[in-house]
This record gives sequence, structure tokens and C-alpha cells, in this order.
Amino acid sequence: MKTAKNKLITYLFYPYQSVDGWKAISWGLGIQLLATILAYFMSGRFDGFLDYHLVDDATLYQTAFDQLINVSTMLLVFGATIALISRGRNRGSDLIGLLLIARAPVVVLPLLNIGDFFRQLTPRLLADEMALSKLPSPAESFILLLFSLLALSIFVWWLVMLFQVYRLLLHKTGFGYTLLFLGLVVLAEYISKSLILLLNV
Amino acid sequence: MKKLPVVCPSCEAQLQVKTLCCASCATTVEGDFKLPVLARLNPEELNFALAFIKSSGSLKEMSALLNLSYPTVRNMLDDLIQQLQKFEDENGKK
Repeated sequence: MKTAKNKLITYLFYPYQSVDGWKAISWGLGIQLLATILAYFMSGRFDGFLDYHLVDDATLYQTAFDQLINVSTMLLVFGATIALISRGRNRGSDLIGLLLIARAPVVVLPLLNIGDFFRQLTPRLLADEMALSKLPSPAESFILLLFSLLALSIFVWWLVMLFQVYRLLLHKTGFGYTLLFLGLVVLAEYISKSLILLLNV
Repeated sequence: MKKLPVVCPSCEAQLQVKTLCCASCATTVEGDFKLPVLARLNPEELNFALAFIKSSGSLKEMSALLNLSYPTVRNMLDDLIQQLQKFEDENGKK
């Protein structure tokens, strides 16, 4: 029998093993919606499939539009490729739902800017002439390092989860499929970034 | 119930049936019999196969029964089919 701790680990790191179909779609869309709202309130934008940046003046429309492009690109690039290779072995609702669930970790990214710490620190760090007084203090440097590692871990978590969902839906192994996955990530990033730059206002 | 050994504990090769015995009259039959493919499955695979038959081959029902997602169950079934195919091929060759 699964303990509460095991259940939590399963839902956090292997949700695709127990959630499927319309339930996965509902959860996936709900989490992406939450990520969009959090990003707006924490002054961030998911301006690319693999991107999250802090900005000064993003509107809710821009934040939502970014997410719409990212999610659509992911479903189009990964969904179409998996459907093409697996030739109808997956239900459409599983394909969409599990890919949405795989993107769930990004919901944590906006929370890293609690207190607006990073948005205020960034211009100082990027200033052309960095005066000694503008350098981050040891405490600020520690927080910067800690949260940078956290942000990196979240990106790794989300890419690992996407890879696991990709393997589950394809049910194929081999170096060729790993390379294909990496190619799809690059393609999704290229398409989403281009669309956001071209279409966003 | 005792577990039927299917693999040699010494060299890990496939075991075969040498003697069969009637529980009613104690008659024994000796020969060289291959194990049927289902008997060669490990307990987890065999339980999965039995549950699959009992649920009339419904993956949706299996998914609810095992509390696993549909694609996970689908992959387990595909692995089982592959395993059975391998055993059938091996039995066919010998």
C-alpha cells in the first residue's frame, strides 16, 4: 500500500503514471492558467517554450498570449511527432493531457520573484558602469545563487518530465529517439520565440 | 502456493518439464516437455495477463483497477505481448 509520502512523490515527479485523459487535460490547463496569473502578478513572462524572464511592464494579455503560444507550440511539435511515430496507439486526450501535465513545473518559476527581489536587482547587475556601491551584498549574492540554482532545477525538472511523457507515449527507446527529443525541444523553442516576437504587441 | 521455477538456478537457462505426476493415482509420465508460454511469465506479468482477461480486455478497466494511467497500462500490455512473442519464437525454434 502506498504511503502518503510515496503518493506525493508520484504526483510531483511521475503524475503521468496515474493521471490520464480528460482529468490530465483539466489539471494541465488549470496549472498553466495558474502559471499565467502568477507570472503576471510576479512581473514575469514565459516569452518562449524554454524561457521565463522578469519584465517591468507586462500586461495580462501579453502573459496569457505567451502561454497560449508556448502550449500550442508544444502540443503541435511534440503531439504531432508522437502521433505520427506511434500511429494511433495513443488516445488524443492522453496525448494532450500528459503533455500539458509535463509542463506543470513551470508554475513554480514566478514564485521565485517573491518580494520583487530579482526584478529590482537585475538592472543594477546589468548597468554599464557598475559602481562599488551598486554591487550585490554577500547576502544578495547568496540569494541570487540559491534562486538561480532553484530556477535551473525547475527547468531540468520540467524537461525531464517532458522526456518521460515523450517516452511513455512513444514507448520506444534508443539514442535516435533521445536525439529526436532534443531536436523537438530546439524546434519548439525556435517556433514559439519567433511567434512571440512576430505576433506579440 | 509454491512458485513454479522456470529458470535454472545454476546457469539461468530455461527449465523444461521432465516428469508429470497424477495426484489421484500417482502415475508418473516422463518425457521432455516445453513449458507453455504463459507458465514462463513472471508472477507480475502473469497477474497482469489474468487481470486483463478478467476485465474482458478493457484497458480502461485495467487502468482503473491498477490505479495507473491508460498509456502506462498500454505500455505494460505491449511489453507483455513482446515477451509472449519472444517465448513463442523460442519454443518454435526448439
